[in-house]
Amino acid sequence: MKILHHICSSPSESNALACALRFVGPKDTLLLAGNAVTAALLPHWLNAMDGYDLCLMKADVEARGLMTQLTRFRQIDYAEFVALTLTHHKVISW
Amino acid sequence: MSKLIILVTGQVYGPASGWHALQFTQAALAAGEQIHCVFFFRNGVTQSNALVCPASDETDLLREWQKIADQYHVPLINCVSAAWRRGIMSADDAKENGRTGHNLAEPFIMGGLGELVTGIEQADRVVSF
Amino acid sequence: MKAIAIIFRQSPHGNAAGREALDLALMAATYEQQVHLIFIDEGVLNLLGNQQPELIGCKDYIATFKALDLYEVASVIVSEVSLCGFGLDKTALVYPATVADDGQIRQLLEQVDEVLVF
Repeated sequence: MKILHHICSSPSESNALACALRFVGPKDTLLLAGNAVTAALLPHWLNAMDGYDLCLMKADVEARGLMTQLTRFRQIDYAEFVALTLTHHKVISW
Repeated sequence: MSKLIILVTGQVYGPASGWHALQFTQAALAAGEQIHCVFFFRNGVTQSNALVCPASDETDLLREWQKIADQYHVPLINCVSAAWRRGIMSADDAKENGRTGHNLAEPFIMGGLGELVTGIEQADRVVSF
Repeated sequence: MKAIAIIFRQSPHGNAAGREALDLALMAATYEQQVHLIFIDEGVLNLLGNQQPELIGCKDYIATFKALDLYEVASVIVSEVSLCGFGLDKTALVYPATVADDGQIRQLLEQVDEVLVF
């Protein structure tokens, strides 16, 4: 069972990422979108996400000028987001 | 081909919920997937407000929704009770409630949460924004 | 028929999330879907007794939780971790929800067809 966890707000805006991390499974994917991409700059949250399949929305990274800082993370476009939606059994938008 | 239902809950200005939902919907249609409908619930109903008037150099989300609906015949459905609470009414709603103005943009239609539920029942995936 | 989990993760009354989540849950139950209500994080506060939301201009949707049995929802789950975090236990709740740990909640999230978070 693979779940795509779609997180749309930064850790200081809401408990979305914290909640997702409580229920994430080993085969799941964490997708950081919108302000959530900033979580990948923060050691505390990087540590919490360590070991999970992680990707970021490319447009959100580039819109915020974070290409250099976040270059080591997998970044996807909307076509890939659609594909992930279908290769996972469900999407939870936290 | 998979059938998707898109749920939009963020308001039209400020949060990027509507923009993300639009990009996802366009990508899904371009990939040949079917969009059962885009359902607007909670603050998402403000996306259908015909009076939203962005500056000329800003993104006009409403225009983008209208283009998608026009090009792909994707139904755009508001939760009627969420819409009324946030001041979005069709001409019929305004008459029913004794209001003088109405502001539901075409081709949005009013529906109930029942339509979201039956949509979920028929779709392969729900994706919320 | 689909199995739908509706997650309450925000405090009541500060916004309409809890009320609108409940509206959807009851509608889905009325349409004979298998509905699971899951309360986590601040969402567990939706289930507290003695609330008086009308004092701050809000509708008392909390009363509806007491009558959940009328709607034939499949389950009502409350997070043990979250309850404990607020120093609460089951006796403070208006509905006899099933107290579950995070592993059990994860299992339920796997079993259902769709999960909607409010």
